Amino acid sequence: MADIKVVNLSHSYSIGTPFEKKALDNISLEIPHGQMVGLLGHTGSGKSSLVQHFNALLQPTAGQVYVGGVDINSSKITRRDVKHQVGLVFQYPEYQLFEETVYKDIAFGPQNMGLSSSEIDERVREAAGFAGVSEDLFEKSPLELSGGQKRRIAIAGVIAMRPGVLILDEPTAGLDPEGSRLILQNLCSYRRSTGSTVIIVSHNMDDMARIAERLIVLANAALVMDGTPEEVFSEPEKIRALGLNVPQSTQIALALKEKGIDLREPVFTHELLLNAILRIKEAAVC
Amino acid sequence: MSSIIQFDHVHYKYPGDEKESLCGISLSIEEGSFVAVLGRNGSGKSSVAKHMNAILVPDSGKVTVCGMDTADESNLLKIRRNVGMVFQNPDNQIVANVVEDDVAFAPENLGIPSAEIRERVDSSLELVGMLEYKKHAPHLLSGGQKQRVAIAGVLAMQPGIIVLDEPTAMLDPQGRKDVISTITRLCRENHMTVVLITHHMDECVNADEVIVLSAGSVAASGPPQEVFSDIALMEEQGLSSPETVKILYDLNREGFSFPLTTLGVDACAQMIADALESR
Amino acid sequence: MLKDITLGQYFPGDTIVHRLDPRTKLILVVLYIIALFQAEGWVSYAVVLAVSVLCMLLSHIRPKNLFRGLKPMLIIITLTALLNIFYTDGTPVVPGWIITWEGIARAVKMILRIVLLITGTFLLTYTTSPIALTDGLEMLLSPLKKWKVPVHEMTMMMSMALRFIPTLIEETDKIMSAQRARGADFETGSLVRRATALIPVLVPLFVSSFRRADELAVAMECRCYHGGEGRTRMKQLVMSSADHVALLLGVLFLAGIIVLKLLGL
Repeated sequence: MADIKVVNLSHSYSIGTPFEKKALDNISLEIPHGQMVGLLGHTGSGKSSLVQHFNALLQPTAGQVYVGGVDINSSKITRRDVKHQVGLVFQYPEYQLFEETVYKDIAFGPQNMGLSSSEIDERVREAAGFAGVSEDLFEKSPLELSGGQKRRIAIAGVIAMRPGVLILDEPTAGLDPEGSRLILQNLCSYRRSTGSTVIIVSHNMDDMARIAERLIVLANAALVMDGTPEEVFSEPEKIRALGLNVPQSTQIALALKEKGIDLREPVFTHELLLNAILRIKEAAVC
Repeated sequence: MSSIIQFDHVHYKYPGDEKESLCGISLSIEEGSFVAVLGRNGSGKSSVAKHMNAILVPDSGKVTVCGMDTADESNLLKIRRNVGMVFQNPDNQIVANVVEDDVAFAPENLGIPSAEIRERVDSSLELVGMLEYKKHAPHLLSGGQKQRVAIAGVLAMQPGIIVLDEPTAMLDPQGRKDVISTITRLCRENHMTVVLITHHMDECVNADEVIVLSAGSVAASGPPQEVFSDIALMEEQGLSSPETVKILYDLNREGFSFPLTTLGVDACAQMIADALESR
Repeated sequence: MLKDITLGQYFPGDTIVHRLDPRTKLILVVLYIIALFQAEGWVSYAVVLAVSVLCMLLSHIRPKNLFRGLKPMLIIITLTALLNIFYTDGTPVVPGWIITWEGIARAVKMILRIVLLITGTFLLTYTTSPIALTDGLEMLLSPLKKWKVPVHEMTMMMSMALRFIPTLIEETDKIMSAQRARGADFETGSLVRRATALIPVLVPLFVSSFRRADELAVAMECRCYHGGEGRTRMKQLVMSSADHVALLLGVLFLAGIIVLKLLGL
């Protein structure tokens, strides 16, 4: 079980130079296995730095990171092994494709793990299925494909390592609404079938409110909000005060409140807004 | 009001492609208006943009910009200085190591005298709110700042039209807001014609006209209120209407009767509040 | 981190050295290098050293930055020094030893020469922005245009390359992290293994560089770029009296070194 536990984690860049900057400031949190987490915050709030600590790409300036109970920075070997357990998909991952064929590119991760070719083959096909990459594309060069397809191939390349935790940094950036929706759909069904933890770093409040079970909000290198969407959106004003957008449905709910109509419960999706308004309508009729 | 860009049955196929990316498209853009062009990836949005300043010329049909035929080579420079073009990736359109040198690039190419270039550079940076960064290195700026520098870079040509091809696709919400408010101001206060290509619906709310492209031709066009209220069409085009329209639409199915032409959050809430209170 | 590499980095400032016309500085560096290679005796070396220290003081460049730039050259410097120490004939330091007094003297001069050479060129790049530098170069070389040498195109490419160095370094960093996350290992194994491990970094870097070049070319065309013909400059280069004085001093300096050489100092 790949539970993540972070204890008093701090990280600074360019230590000892005039450019020294605190990216993470004393962060502690636990993510039990199997959660769907949305990690939110401004550019520069520390989101990307935080997730790069989960697979030891960055090492803490202070504090510890445990994955499955093991301090991942205790040795070179744990630092290497954690990369198989915690898969990280970077922003615009399509720019990291390099193999001649789609198949070989997806197989790169499993190959680095030293698996047998039959095992690799099984994983490549499984991962392609999860990421929505058709097997017809396997022998094509990734370079000839569309941006959306490349993105899926890159995601499949990480899923093929069968990580217990899958982290994606802005997986829908730059895609059209349809493409974004499909990728998020794939990620949700991936998590349902494998039971892995999925952590999505995003700017898109609407998407995260809809699909995440838990939202973590960072601001200025610190953890400022952490809870279920219900909990987090019970204080929409606080999110706004942090300079972040709230979902469109929450904006409408807030505007209604200003006009004297209190929907009384947290609203952060279309359905919740619709039902809350309809309830008030019923109440008025009775 | 007169039409400043005119597409007449334009066909275009990229060399090596099988399918046409523009299939006989006709459209017209009014001088001084803010026009948003929407559509899923591959609908021909970028090809339309590239026809507007003669980076691409039609295989057949005709594109006229400020009365000039883009297929006529002798008009090339005149068209390009009149139609400023901003692209998706700000890193790939900034040519110099210092912000002000980059903004000076276009007027330098046009052979403008030094003193006037200086003035143009400063006033363009002022217009996009980046004057205080004029001595900065572009690679140290945020995405939104870089994109505003890129806008200043085309403003320095003093174009009448500015075409932006998904300028916010790579930006964070703050950067998006800054860029959109900058171009809205350019249109409303400086009376420039703005053509914005995007797939973020919320960026089109203030547009005068929305054009939805599908497979190389126009699927719908009109004021945003009108286009967005056609929820079926939006779904079909892989776009999604703003929540304000969607909620009113769904409430109508539950017995309300709201007009679907409201895009603002506040106006939408007001209508719902009024309806609930009158019961 | 790759970002820490100093590659002809520019430190903005407002000193006399910063304000000099880039053409002046380019000419001065050439004069300085010629002088350096004319220097033979200790006195000449002392003069060159004094001049470069003076310029450093005038330009407010911290010695720390200079040493950081020298670091990558350390191996070459040590190697030449060792070769000179061991392979110069003369009077042994201790009878029977291979090391000679002449060898030591030559090694010291060699080290001085390399360090001074680097210092001189660094002073130029530390105090002159890349754009000013390429502008200056273009103007200095412009007489060559008569013989159809594409001076503008060459300097344009240079400044473009300089512009994209930080972008590409950042991108390399990103791609390396991404491949590391997929289990790529760049640190261990034989030289051949490590070289092949770089393929997953180099291929995407090449692909994206071509894409960038493509987009950049279109963006430049959109901004009416059509070669050097009819182009003007926002920042006109003007030689001030300070430049004339500096050039005069530069010529005197070179002449002085040559005189010292003739005197055998």
